[in-house]
Amino acid sequence: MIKLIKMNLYRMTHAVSTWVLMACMIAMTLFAFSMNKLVLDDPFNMNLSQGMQDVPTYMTSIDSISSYVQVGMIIMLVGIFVVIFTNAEHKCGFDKNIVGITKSRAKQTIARWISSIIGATALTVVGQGFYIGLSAAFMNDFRWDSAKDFLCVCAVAYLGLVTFVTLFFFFTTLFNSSTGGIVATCFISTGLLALIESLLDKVADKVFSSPAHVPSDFFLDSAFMYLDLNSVAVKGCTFFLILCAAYIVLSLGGSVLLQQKRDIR
Amino acid sequence: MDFILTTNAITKQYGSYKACNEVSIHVERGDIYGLIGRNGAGKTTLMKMIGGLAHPTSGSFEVRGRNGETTSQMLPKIGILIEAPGLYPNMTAFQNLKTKAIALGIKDDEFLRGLLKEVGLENTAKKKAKQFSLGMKQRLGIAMALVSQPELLILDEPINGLDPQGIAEMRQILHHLSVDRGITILISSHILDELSKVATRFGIIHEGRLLEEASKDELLSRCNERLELRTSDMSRTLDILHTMGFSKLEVADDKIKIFERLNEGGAITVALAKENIMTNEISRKSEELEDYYFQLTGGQKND
Repeated sequence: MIKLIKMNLYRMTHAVSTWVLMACMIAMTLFAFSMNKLVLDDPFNMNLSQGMQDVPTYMTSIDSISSYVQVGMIIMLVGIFVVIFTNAEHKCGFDKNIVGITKSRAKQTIARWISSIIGATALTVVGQGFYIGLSAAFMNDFRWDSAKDFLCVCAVAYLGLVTFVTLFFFFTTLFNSSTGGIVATCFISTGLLALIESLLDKVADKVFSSPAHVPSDFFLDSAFMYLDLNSVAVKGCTFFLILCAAYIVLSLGGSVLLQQKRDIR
Repeated sequence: MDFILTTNAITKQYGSYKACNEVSIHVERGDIYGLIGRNGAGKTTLMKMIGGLAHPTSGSFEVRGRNGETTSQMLPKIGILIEAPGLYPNMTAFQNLKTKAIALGIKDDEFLRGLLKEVGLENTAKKKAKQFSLGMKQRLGIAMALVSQPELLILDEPINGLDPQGIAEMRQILHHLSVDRGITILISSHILDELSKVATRFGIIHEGRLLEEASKDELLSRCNERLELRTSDMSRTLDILHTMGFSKLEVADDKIKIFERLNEGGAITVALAKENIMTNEISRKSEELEDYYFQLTGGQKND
């Protein structure tokens, strides 16, 4: 397993797409930071134009996490990375070289999944680290939260990221093509899926008259995007943690099963 | 016999279509086993099952006598090059080898450079795989298959699409791997002429079924020049031929095939006439391996 992960990391670092996506992530971070700085440095004008009230004029370290990872574009970039990386082996036929050398396809799939997570973590850490660094250096009023709260939020955000990676990994394995994987990724990260979810919510609302949980509560994209990271350290997020665990187990289990049953073409 | 690979009625079915239908081949250690068959005959499917890329619908295969669950333990000892070589196009030849070597825990870069030298790619330096010619890609594919130091090498149509020089180079590599390194090779092709130059044993596969398995000598003897004889009493004819000292005989399809003393047709008919046996047909025949194949598969040559 370790050898397979090492192999995956070797090919990851030698793939042009990894570095292109890293550059995109940095560019995206700069753009996101510029937009946030614009809002926070000149809240009066922005508030007038948007008709909003009570927008804080400072940024905390937890704000910087939530305003970064809960943006669809970042999830989309991570998704594209996972799709390209996961499918590369199959696309060029390299999987034929290694399928025989390990006794279990489950090991190969899990090794690829772990490698995807390592790659996605590297991308996000670089992006997020850059964002926090820029915020700390250039925001007029940047405040650090307590280390405990900050780490707690980081852990929850990271779990969300790992869950998204696992879900995108599953879609790529299911469709067995980059196109299928990228369409699924874009569908989830651009909010198209959220439109369907809101329709389902309305239907559920009418049928069950104000149910405790609406369908969108169980969709990862909505659960993550609307999760209040600022209150996570205080109130906890048990439902979100259970949801992530369920997504990870089902998506990874599905991927392993598909790979075990499928012939390599 | 020391079989390195045997398949036992191995079958692969897609819906109602059987791509491979109860195929049982026997590959001896040291063989260059040529699988002959048209496109779509089932050669690739069979190789994929042996290489662990596809699951058999029924039947099984044994590698070095291990079957069932323990077969998978032997898969690392099988090197495969099936259809196009699986290479990362943006990596160099060395990096492609290195990628597989890492998965195997091989840290010796000199071993990998040695493999590149063995297949004649030692001077490709920083050239990426996507810039390679088809022949170079095929040779790199073989080097990839050799990284795991296999005992059995499975090569699916490795000469397909190569120019004459590429084919000659490939023949040299195969000869080297078989003779110098003692690697058993299972190779498929639909180019019979080329396959007959390298293979020591053949399996003829057609529409998913194995029609015949024979050594090179056996196969060539069936294609050799011969006298074909049909008489009114075949069993007495055989006795007379033996009395006349003929030993290289074969009886098939109501005919006696004589593979020696081919200019003694007249003497044979006279001897048979003396014993009141009527010669219905006697003719001198020969055929190419290709003709033999077409005769066996019931097909026709594409002129």
